[in-house]
Amino acid sequence: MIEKEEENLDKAEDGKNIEDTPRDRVRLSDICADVKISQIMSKETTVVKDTEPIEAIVELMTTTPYHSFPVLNSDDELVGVIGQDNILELLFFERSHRNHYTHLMAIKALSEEAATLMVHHPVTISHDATLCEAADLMIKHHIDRMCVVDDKKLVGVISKSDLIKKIYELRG
Amino acid sequence: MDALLQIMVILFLARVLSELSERSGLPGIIGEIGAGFIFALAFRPDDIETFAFFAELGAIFLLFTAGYKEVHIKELKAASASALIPTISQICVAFGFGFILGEMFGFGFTESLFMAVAFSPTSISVVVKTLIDTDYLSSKPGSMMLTSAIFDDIIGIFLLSLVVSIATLNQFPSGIHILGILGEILTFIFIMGFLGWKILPRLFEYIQKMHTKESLFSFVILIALFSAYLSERFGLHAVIGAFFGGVILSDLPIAKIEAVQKKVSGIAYGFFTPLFFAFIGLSVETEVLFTAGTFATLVIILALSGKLIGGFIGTKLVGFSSMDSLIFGIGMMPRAGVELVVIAIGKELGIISNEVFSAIVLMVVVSIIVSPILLEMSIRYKERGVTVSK
Repeated sequence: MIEKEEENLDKAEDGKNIEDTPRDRVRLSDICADVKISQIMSKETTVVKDTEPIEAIVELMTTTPYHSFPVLNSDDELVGVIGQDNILELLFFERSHRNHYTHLMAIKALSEEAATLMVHHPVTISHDATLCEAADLMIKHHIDRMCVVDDKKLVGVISKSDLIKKIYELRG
Repeated sequence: MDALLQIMVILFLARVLSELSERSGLPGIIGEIGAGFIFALAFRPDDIETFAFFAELGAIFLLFTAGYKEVHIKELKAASASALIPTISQICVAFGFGFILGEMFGFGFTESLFMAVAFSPTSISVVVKTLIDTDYLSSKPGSMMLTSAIFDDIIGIFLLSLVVSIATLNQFPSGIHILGILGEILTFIFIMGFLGWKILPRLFEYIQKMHTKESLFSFVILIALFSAYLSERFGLHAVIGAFFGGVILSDLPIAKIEAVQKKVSGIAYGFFTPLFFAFIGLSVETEVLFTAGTFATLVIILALSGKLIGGFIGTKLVGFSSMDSLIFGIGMMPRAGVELVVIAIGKELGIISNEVFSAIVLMVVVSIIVSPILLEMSIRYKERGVTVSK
């Protein structure tokens, strides 16, 4: 993985030597097509089980720097995501406007474990997708972070800052 | 009146009156129905073709967003089967009351059936605020209401598909007819299921990579329209297809990303559904309401008491106390969505008269106003009883 990164860096360097113009950025975006998500994702992610009590997740949010947690089932498959928005909506449910009192919200407000509160349809990206594909998705659809999966198993999480860091690194 | 001006005035009135009703503690839908009603009184428009078309799209979007945003197939699996008895009981009694009332007034079979179906659904969201304010959401009757409402929605849609298909037969359905209709419904559900399971995930993979502006949003809307059209080809009504279209998209991550959800919500709740509710209000005939005083009163009493009695009996059967059963029954009373779609379709097909239509709209408005009040009263009464006995 490290070797590959070095290769990419070399390519970037070559680009600079040949033509030191703003077109570098275009080339950089070409290079990003060779960088796999699995190379830049955060592998050490804090996950929660679908049976995890909500209270424990709230506590986890205060002790970790993450904005959202992937939720796994007993077979370790990714089944959802719980984010700050979900927790805030739950904590301030009584204060929310009448329009938010839908049937689904009421069920979520009663949830005691992750499975009921989580978003059941997290946006995922395959581990062998490229940095370019991730960037396209994130920019086009305003997605902050995505779960990286191999089949249904979670292998990591990729965020906008992971992309920015990598691009910064590639630019030297 | 110019169509453009008409839509503009109605949307404006719907927004202002909806705000007023929200501010006075009532759901916005009352203001939206009121907007149509006032518009009809003030302008007496003769050409409402464009408005009617938008209203039809409103009904399609109302049920599409219900499927797309509110339904979770997984929740249905998790919903406890113990809620089935109270749900079936309250639906059956309300349905029966509706049908008997139709027969009492000498309506035809299909008209009575439409009225029975319009009596059946519940819009639980009307009382959620009361349940929160009284801290009863997590109580035994409260959580039973929420679970029951999950089944209620599905049964409501099913009844609607059945009744629309029967109505198009124009005769008393035989066993073979019913089987044929059920076959059509099942084939349609099977096709939609296959689309949702195999085709759409792949299709949306390509769509999200498209360069055209707002392609993802466009395709979500296209699925709504396509499923509405497809269901019509199967002899079901467009709104039923739209609902299933929403359901098959509801678990598709790329179709459910926040940015797209907001746009769908915007076009549905910000434009189409207010027009649908306003159209309902516009179609109410005041004269009919005054002349049909007894009938309208009976519709209100039977529709509300049907849910109350059915809910009471059903929860008693699963071992609730009398007070809890009463609270559950009252919680099942409000109507605010599917029933209006039912009568709008019934009127469009020429099956239900203006009299029935107007009486049911009045029943919906009354149920929205009285259910939260009665619910709060019954909860307070129960709590007083508890403190006294302590």
